[in-house]
Amino acid sequence: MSTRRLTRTTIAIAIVAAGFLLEMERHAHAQGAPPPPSDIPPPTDVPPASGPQDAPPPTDQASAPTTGVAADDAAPPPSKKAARDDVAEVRVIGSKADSLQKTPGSGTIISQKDLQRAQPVDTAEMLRRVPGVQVRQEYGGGNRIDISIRGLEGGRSRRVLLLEDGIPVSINPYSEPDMYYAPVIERYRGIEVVKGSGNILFGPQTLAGTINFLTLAPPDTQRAAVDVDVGTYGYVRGYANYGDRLGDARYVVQVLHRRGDGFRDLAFDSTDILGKLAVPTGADGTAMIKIGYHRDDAASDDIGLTAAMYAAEPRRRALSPASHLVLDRYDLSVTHEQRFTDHVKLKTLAYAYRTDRIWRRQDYTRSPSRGEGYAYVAGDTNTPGGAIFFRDANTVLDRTYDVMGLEPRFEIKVRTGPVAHTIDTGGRVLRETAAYEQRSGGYAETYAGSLDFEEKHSGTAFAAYLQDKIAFADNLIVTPGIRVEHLEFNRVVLRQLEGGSPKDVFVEGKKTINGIVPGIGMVYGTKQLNVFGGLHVGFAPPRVTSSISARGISSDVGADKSLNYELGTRTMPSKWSRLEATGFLSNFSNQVIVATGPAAGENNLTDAGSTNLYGIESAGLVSFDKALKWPTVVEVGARYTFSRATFRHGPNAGNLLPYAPLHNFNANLDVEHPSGFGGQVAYSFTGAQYTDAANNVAEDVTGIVGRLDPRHIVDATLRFKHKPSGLTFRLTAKNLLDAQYIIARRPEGIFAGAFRQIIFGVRWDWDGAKRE
Amino acid sequence: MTGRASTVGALLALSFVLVIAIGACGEVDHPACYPGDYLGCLCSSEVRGFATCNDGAYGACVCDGRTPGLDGSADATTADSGVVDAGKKGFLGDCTKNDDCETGLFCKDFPAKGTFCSRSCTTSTAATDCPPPSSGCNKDGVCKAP
Repeated sequence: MSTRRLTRTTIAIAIVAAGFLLEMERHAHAQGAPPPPSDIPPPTDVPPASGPQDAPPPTDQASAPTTGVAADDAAPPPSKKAARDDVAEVRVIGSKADSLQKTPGSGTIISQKDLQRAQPVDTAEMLRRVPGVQVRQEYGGGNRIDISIRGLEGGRSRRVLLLEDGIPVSINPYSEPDMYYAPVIERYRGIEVVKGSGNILFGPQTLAGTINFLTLAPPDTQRAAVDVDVGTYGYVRGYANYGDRLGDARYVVQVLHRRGDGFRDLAFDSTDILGKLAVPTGADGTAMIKIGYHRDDAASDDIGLTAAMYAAEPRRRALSPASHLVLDRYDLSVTHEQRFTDHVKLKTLAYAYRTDRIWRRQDYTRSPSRGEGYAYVAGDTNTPGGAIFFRDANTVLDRTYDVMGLEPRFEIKVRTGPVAHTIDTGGRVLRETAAYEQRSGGYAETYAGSLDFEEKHSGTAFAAYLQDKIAFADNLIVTPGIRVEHLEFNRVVLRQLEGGSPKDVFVEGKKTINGIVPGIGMVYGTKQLNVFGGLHVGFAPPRVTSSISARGISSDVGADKSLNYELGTRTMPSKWSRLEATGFLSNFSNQVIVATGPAAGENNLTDAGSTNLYGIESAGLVSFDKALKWPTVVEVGARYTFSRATFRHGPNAGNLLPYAPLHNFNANLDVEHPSGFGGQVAYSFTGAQYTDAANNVAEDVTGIVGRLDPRHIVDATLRFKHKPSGLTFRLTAKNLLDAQYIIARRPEGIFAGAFRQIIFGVRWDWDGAKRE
Repeated sequence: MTGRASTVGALLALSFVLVIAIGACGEVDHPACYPGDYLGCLCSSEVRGFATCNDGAYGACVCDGRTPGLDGSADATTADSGVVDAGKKGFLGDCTKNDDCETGLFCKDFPAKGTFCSRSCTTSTAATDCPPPSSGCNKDGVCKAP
C-alpha cells in the first residue's frame, strides 16, 4: 500500500470514528441526559463474568487472620439465585477469587486489566508473559502461532491443549491438533494457563499445559465499545462490540476487522465475528449460546531466506508472495449449567466447528535442472544450495475439518466426616473428520490445478475422567484423578501418485489408541503462603497421518508419553507483593518432534525417543503504590524460566532439543496516574537456541540449520483516558528498539522477527447504565 | 463550545496528526529485486531466458539458453559487449558443449549438420540475430546453421 493511500485510508477511518463519537455525544445532550460523572470506571469491553478475574489481592499477614487454602470448602454453598446470574462456561483454573491458590500446579491468569495495559496486537504477545511458555509467530498478522511449554515441541502448537471457554479449538483435536486458527486477542477478556496435574480434567493432550481463552461475557447492562487502531506497515484494526440485557437474557456481539501489509510484504486480512447469548433455563439453570465466524486471508510463504540472503538484507521481502492461505472457521456451541442441588451441578458442553483451509504454495527447488523455465531465481547461484529456483507452478493444499463434541461435566460436593470432597467427573464423545485434496497448479496464483492426492480421515474419541479435590483440613488439599482416552482413527486414501502419475486408489488403514492418564496433586498452606506439587502422566495421541501411512499401514509413531513432576510455592508476603516459583521435571519415553535439516519438510515428524525436561519457573509482582501509598499506580512484574530439555539416548544424547532455549525472562512496568495518563514498558529476553537435534552452531548455506542468537525485545505503550467522554488514546511501539533477529529457521530457511511497529489507537467505551 | 467538547476536539485533532505521521513513517522500502536475482522472461513463444537484477531493477532478457547456477551467469551486458572470450568459439563455430562457445551463445545440435554455437532469435529480428552464414531463424527460435 502506498503512503498516500494509507494516509487517505487512515484519515477516512479517523473521520468516521470521530463523527460517530461526536454524534453520540450530541445525541446524549439532545435527550437531556446529564453529563456523565467524572468517575467513569476504566474502559472495559464488557464486565467480566461473575466473580473476579484477577488473582485475589494479597492480604497483609499482620492484619488479617490466616486462612487455609481449603477453608472455604466447608463454607455454605452459594444460593440458588446466584446460579441465574452466573455465566455458564468451563474454566481450567476457576472463577472464584482463590481458585489459583487451590490449583495443584503452576497456573497463571492473564486478566482483563493485563490486556488493557499491554494493548497486545496478537495472542502471542500475552502468552509470552506466562512463565514456561514460549511462542513464535509465523507471520506478521499473528495468523499462526507456535506455542511451546517447558521446551516441548511447539510446531503448530500441537503439544499444548488449547481451549476457548473449555472447548477445543485445534482443527482436529485428536487426529491433527494443529493450530492453523490463531485465536484473536480481541475476543478475550482473559486467559488461563495451567500446567501440571490439573491437565487431566481436559485433554487429550496432557503433556505440559492447557491454555483456556475466555471470551467476552454478556454484560448486565447496556454497553458498547468502539476501538480503532492504525499503524505502520499499513496496519489497520477496527472492532466494535455491543451488549445488553433483554429481560433475563443477556447478549454481546463483536465484529473485528484487521489488515496490514506485513513486515516483509506478507499482507494479511482478518475478520472475526462473535455472538453470545446467556439465557436462564429454569430456576436453577443457565445456558450460554455462542456463535462465531473467523476468516484469515494472508500471504503465507513457507520458504525462508538463505544465510547469504539474510546477511545481505535481513529485511528482504518474502520470497514467495504468490503463496497464500485462506482460512474460514465457523463455530457454534452451547454450554449449559444445571444445579440439581446445592451440592451437585452439571455442566454440559455441546459444540461443533468447521475449519476450511486452502493454502497455495509456490513450487521451488534448490537443485535446478537445465532447460527448466523457472519464474525467478533468488540467492547465490554460485554456491550449491545457496539459491532457490521458483517455478510458475504451485501445490494447492485444500482441507476441510469438522469437529462435533459433547461433554457432560459433573461437580459433586460431599463430606465424609470432617473431610470435604469436590468430585469432578465427566466424559467426552467427539467425532472429527478431515478431507484433504492436494492439487498441482499450472501457475503460481491458481487455486485450481489437477488433483494429485486425496484422502479422508476421521477419529472417534471417548474419554472419561474422575478427580476428587479432597480438603483434609483447612490447609491441605490433595487432588487425585484419572483420565482415560480411547481413540479410533481411520484413514482412507482415494488418490495418490503411483509411478509418477496420480491414480485413483482405495487404501484404508485403521488404528486404535488408548491412554490412561493418572495424576495426583497437593496444595498445603494458607492463601498467603502455600506449597504445591504433583505428579501426572502426560499423553498426546499421534497425528493420524503419522500413525497410518498413505499405504494404509500402521506406523511406529506412537503417542507422546511422559511422567511429569512438579513442586512449587506461592506466597503473598504483603498486600503489595506476590511471588511464585515452580520446579518441574518431565521424563518422556517418546516425544515426537519435527525433523530438521535440509531434506526435512514441515510435516516430517519423527520420534525423538526418550527426552528429559527439567527446570524452574518463577514470577513476581510488586505494587509500589500500595507499598508506599502513592496515588499513582506503579507495578513491576517479572517472570524467569530456566528449562533444560535434552535427548536421553541415541546419537544426540545430551543435546538440547531444537527450539528449546535455556533461559527466558520478561518484565513489565505499569504506571497509571489519576489524571488519566498511563503506560507500560515491557521487556523480554529469549536465550540462544539450537534448531536441530545435532545442535549445530554454525549456520549452513540454506539457513535451515544453525543456532539462533539471544534476543531482547522492548514494547512500550502510552495512553490517556479522558474519563468524561469515555475516550482512550494510546500510542504503542512494538519492538521499540527495532531489534533485528531470526525468530525461526523452519520450515525452510530463515524467518526474521517482527520489525518495529508504531500503532496509534482510539477507543470509546459507553455504559448505558450510567447515562440513565 | 463547552470545555469538554473543546478538549475532545483537541484530542481528536491531535489524533489526526498522529495518524498522518504514522502513515507517512518510513517503512522498509523493498526494491523490485535484489542483487544476484534472476527473473524468468519469454524470448519467443517457446524459448525462455533470464533477466538479471542490477541496481534494484531487472535488465534486458538474455536468451542464451543458459540456466543461472548451471551454466554460469546470464548477464545481458556481457552478451552485447562484443568481447571475444579467449579460446571460445564464435557464432556458428563448431562445439561439443556450451562452455565451448562465447558468452551469449550456446552449443546446438543441428541434425544432419552437426553441433554449432548459435543463439536465440525471433523471426522479426532474424536479420540482426542471425547474420550470414546463418540462413535465418528456425521455428524453435534458434539461428539456423548453414
